[in-house]
Amino acid sequence: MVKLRRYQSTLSSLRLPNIATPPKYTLATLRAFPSLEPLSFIPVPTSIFAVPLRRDILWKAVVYENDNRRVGASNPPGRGDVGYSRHKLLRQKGIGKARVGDANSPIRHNGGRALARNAPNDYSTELPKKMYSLAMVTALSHLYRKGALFVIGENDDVISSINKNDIGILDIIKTRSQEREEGEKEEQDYRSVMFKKFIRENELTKKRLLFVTSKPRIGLLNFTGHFKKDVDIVQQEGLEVNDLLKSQKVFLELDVLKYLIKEHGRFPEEN
Amino acid sequence: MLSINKSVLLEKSIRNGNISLTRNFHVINSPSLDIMDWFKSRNKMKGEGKDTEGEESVKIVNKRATKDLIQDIETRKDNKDDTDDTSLATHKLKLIPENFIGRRNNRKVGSQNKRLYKDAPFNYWLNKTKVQNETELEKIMESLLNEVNADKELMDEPLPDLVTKFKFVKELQAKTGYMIPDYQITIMNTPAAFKQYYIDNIFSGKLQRFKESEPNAIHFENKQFTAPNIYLVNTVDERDISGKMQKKKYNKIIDEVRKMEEIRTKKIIEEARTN
Repeated sequence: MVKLRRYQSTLSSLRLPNIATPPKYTLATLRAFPSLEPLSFIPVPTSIFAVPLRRDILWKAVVYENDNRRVGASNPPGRGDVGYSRHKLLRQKGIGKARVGDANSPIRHNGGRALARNAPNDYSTELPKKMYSLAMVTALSHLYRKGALFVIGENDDVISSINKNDIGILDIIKTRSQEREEGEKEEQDYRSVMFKKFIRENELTKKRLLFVTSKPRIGLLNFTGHFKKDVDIVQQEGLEVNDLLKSQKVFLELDVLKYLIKEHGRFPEEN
Repeated sequence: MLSINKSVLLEKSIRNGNISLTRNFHVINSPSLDIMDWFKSRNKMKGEGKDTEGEESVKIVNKRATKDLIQDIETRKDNKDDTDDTSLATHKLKLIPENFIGRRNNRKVGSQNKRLYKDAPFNYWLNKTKVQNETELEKIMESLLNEVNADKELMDEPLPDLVTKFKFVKELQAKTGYMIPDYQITIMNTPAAFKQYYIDNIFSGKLQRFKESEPNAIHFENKQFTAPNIYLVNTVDERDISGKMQKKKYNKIIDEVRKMEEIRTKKIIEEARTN
């Protein structure tokens, strides 16, 4: 008699010696702003940038966010609020018409609202934190696969040095080349046209862009006013799955990526 | 700044959903051009004038009596020599954009911005002339592999380390003029794979045809169907003719027709004259 035996998954690799180990990280290019010139590679765990697309989880997160966004300030009039008499409009029998109650009834065109509520109405729903985190990394992975995710920043071991016209954060400030040097002409402020140049040179015209910053970036806020229909700027703590899904290109600072990994990595409590 | 305890508490309450974070989407409005805006701009201009001319002009303004000013206006005295701000000369409104409420000197601002845009320093790291065909790409790759100290035979060999890979990929992007997505960079390891990426996505026209609103669109071509009873209408080739080109062609035809008609009418008139 053949005895079937179950092996633990840890032993299975021994049974299948040629099985490929799944990759542990993906590569993200660190770029400079505003030219998007590559500075270095950074390894990002596959649990952040290589999560399979799960539309159902994204759907849940979007519904959760939209529910929580509702203010619930409506005050629809109920039966008691409409103010008609409680007198029965027709008698119960003998008319040949349908049975009717009073004029406040919700079935009448000017009657009260059935199950009316009073503000504040709380429409907020709950979602397990792990599921929300999974939705966030799923959205990030989707953008990464689409080639719509750009990480801006420089760390200590950059391979190629940063250009004097660029910076390592998402901001519009006077770069080194724009600062006044001795013996040179008076400095010129190019900040008002830098964002336009960034959009045109990187072929991002009429695309919906999302900039996620680790700190408030005043320069970026001030000088993107002209493009406010297409450009959203949000700080890392306020980032939502909705924002990621609605934008065509997303620009993250390196610190934001670290924050997202810490907050929404697979096992954030262990980090 | 928040203390550590406070920040921890804040973080917890955010996590629990007790505090809804104020989202920092920017709401900067485009410059409004209302009446108050105009007054503000005038005040600003006056303020700038003060710095250059000094306080004397201000004093002169104060010296002048209102009665004199009214008299001047009533008699319509044109005192051009008077440099005083309140002289009659300044009361004649010049018809320049600055003096119109709700208008700005757009032409001036536009030309200034154009000049600024042109002069603004920018790091152009991508080649503006993009790679057109496979032979050009092969030449670029060959030179890159020589720089990386690899032979041409090593096209199928994986790039040895991440630094080499980074340098190779960056130069490849810079010289070809196309940016490669990070996902593709991660999954491709050999120079041959990168070459195949360019062939499949760029030279085939797939990348140019890609529309974000229709990411899964299927593009048929007449070449794909050999059967004589299959004919495709509105194919990719046809769609590649842009509206601009169509208009240009249409206008050209209309122009030719107009010229022919002109010649014809001229002929008719000449014939009528001779007869």
